[in-house]
Amino acid sequence: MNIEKFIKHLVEQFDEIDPADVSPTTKFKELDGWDSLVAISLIAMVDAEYGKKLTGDEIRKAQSVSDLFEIVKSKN
Amino acid sequence: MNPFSLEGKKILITGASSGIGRTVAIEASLAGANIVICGRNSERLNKTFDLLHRIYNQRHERIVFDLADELATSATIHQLSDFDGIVFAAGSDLIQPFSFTTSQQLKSIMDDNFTGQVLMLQKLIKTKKINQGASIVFFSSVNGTSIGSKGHSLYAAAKGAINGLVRVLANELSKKKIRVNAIAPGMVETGLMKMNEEIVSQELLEEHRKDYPLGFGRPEDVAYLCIYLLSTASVWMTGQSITIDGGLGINR
Repeated sequence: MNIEKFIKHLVEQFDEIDPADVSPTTKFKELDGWDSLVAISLIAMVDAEYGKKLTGDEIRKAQSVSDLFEIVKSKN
Repeated sequence: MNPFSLEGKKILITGASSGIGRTVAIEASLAGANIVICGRNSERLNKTFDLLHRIYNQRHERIVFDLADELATSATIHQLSDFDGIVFAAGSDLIQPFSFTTSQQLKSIMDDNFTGQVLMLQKLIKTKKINQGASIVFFSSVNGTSIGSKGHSLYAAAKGAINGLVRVLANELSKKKIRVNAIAPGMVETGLMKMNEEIVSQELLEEHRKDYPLGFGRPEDVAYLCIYLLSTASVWMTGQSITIDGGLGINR
């Protein structure tokens, strides 16, 4: 897994966000358009792209993009 | 006789191995019915079977099969007869934004919540296994009836299909005085809700609970409406999708 690709997938779940504005330290829940639908989009994206099950609680605990990346990466 | 009693009635309940289906089976047996339960999981179905009341010397039966498997359904129906009530409580949910939908998911959600039940009922009607004056109860949801929660597109579509089916069947089967209705519940505390909780997080679910003046429902709260629909007390009710939602609707 590489974080650049993860960020690309993450950005796709938002309607209009410039990928250049998102880095590993970005607090993704503070991005424009963040809501519960984007949260379940992330779960569906992680399932579709990485074949892993992310939970709502894990999203809640993660603050930065790299937090979320590490959670997904650590999953089997 | 008490019009709310189910004594002497033979009632088939699908999806009885868990959730609302299990509770409907237990409460209907308490109301005096002879119960035939079906479900996919034999261990959990046996647990339901053990929980059924037998105060009126009732005879209960259990059948393990998957409603989504049409061949298995045909074979099962062969052994059945003489129903005064049928409850379709089998179902499954999927929480995902619409844009991620795959054809397999569409098929699987429709099979579990709509197609399996439709094909089973069609065979029961065609082979005349349903008695005059019987009551058929489907499970719809507030999703697909009056609201559309984000992430539940396929589930709501299947439930909406149930609402349409109920109206036409009620009309077609009225000649035999068979009644057809759907129950459209709001959030009920079952295994499906547990799945919701895992995906959307407990925090969001607690937020959602505030939309319910009477809180989330218990399976019993919904089962009692189902008992009413199965009993002769509801003899003039047909073709309806009845919302039972702890007040969710008045708060919107």
